[in-house]
Amino acid sequence: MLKLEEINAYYGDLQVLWGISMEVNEGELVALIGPNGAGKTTTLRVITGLLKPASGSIRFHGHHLGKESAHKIVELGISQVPEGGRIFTGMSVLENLELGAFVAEARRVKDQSLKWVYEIFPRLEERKSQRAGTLSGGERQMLAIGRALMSKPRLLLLDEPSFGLAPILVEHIFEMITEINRQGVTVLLVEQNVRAALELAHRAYVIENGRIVGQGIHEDLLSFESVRSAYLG
Amino acid sequence: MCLLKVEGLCKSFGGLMAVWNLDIEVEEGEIVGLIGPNGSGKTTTLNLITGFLKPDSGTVTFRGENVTGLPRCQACRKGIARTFQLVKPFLGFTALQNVMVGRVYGREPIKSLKVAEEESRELLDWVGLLDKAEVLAKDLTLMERKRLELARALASKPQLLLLDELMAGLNPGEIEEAMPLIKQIRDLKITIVVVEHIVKAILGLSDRIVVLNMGEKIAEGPPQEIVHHPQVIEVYLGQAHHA
Repeated sequence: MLKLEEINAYYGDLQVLWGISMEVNEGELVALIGPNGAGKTTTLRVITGLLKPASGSIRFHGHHLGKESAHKIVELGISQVPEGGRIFTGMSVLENLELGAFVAEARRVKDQSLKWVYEIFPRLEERKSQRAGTLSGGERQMLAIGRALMSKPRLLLLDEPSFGLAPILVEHIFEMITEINRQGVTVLLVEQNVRAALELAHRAYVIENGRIVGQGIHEDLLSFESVRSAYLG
Repeated sequence: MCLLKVEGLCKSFGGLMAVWNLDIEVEEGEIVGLIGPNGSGKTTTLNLITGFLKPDSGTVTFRGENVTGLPRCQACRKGIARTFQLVKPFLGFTALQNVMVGRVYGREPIKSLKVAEEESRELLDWVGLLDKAEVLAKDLTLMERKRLELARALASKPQLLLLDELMAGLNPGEIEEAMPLIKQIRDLKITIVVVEHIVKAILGLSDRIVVLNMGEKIAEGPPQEIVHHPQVIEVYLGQAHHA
C-alpha cells in the first residue's frame, strides 16, 4: 500500500533521513519507534508531503507521492495527526472537525464520521461550540486525532497520539486505535509509549539517527539497545 | 516554611468553572505533583499562580507576600518561573538568546551582558543544548525546545519552578534519564510543582500529590496513598494502573 525506497531528506544543509526504506501493507498496524530526534516525525512529514525528500521514491497504491502537494496526498487517503495537537485555535471545535472532512469523499459521510468521533471523545461533543484555543492541552490532542479521522483516511499516520493525555485516556486511545484499524484503516503509529505500541502493532520499524536499523515483531526488536532502554526503562 | 499558599482560588471561562475554591500549600524544598484528567484545571492553576491569568477570587501568597494577579514579569522577578506544556520559545531568537532573556529579566540583576551570556551557556550545556546555542529556536525539534524552556526558566534564578508536562513525548528510557535532572534542580534549593501525566515520573518525583477533577481538589497525599485512592483511579488512573 505504502512503499518508501531509499529516502534521503534534509533540513537546510543537515541530512536527517538516510536511505529510509519501509512499507506498510493494506490493513496493517505498523509502529515506527526510536529515540527522540531519530527522524520519526520527519519520516511522517515526507509521507504527507510536508517535507520533500532530496531523493528516493514514495508510492501509495502505485501513485508517486514525491512531487504531490500535501492537500493532494490527503485526497488520496493519507491523513496525519501532527505532534502536539496543532489545531485552528480561532475556530470552534466543531469547525475544526468539519475542516477535517474537507475532501469530497469525506464530506459525504461527515455526519456519520462526526458521530463516530464524538463516541471516541465525548469531551469534544461537550465542547463543540467552544473556541478551540480555549481547550486544554489534552483536549487539543483529542481534537487533532478527531480531525484526522474526519477525513476518512485509508492510511492514518499517528504521531504520538498519547501525548499529554491522562493515563485513563491513554488506555482508551490505544483501544480505539486497534478498533480503528479493525474497521479497515491502515495505521502507521509513532509512539514513545513503546510497550503499548509494540503490543498493538503487527510489525515495527526501529529508526536511529535517521536510518532504519531494524524491523520485525515484538521479540525480534528487543536485541536493539535503543528499543530495550525505551521499552524496559 | 510555606513557600506558596493558594487559598480559595476561583476562575471561570464564560460558563465553564475551570478552577473552583482551590487551596494548595507548597513547602520550601518540596516537589509537589499536580495531576488530574484532561481539562481538570491544572494548567489554569499554573497560569493563575504565575500571573498569566487573574483569578476571579482567592489569593496567591508567595514567601508571605500577596502576589495575586501580579503581572507575570513581576512574578518572575519575585522568583516564580515556569515552562509551558505547549512550548513557547522566542522562535526568531537563537537558543542562547532565549536563555539570556530569562537571565536578563529574571530575579537577580546581571553583572554584565557578557557574564549573563556565560551563565546562559552553562545552562544550555546542562540541558545538553550547548551545540545548538546559535541555532534559531524555530529550527529546534520539540524535545530540544522543551529543554530550552527548562534552561530559560532556570536562568531567571527561580525559587519556585512550575513544570507543565515537561516529559510528555519522552519514551520510558528517556524519562529515566530526565528524572535525575529534576531532582538535581531540587538540590539547587528550587521548590518544584510538576504537572505530568506519566504516572511513573510523577510517582518517582513527587513528595506529595494534589489531584484535581473538574477544577476542584479531590485528593491530596503521598504518592502511594494517591495511587490507591478509589476516586483517583476512577477519574484519572484507570484500572491498569491500579497496583
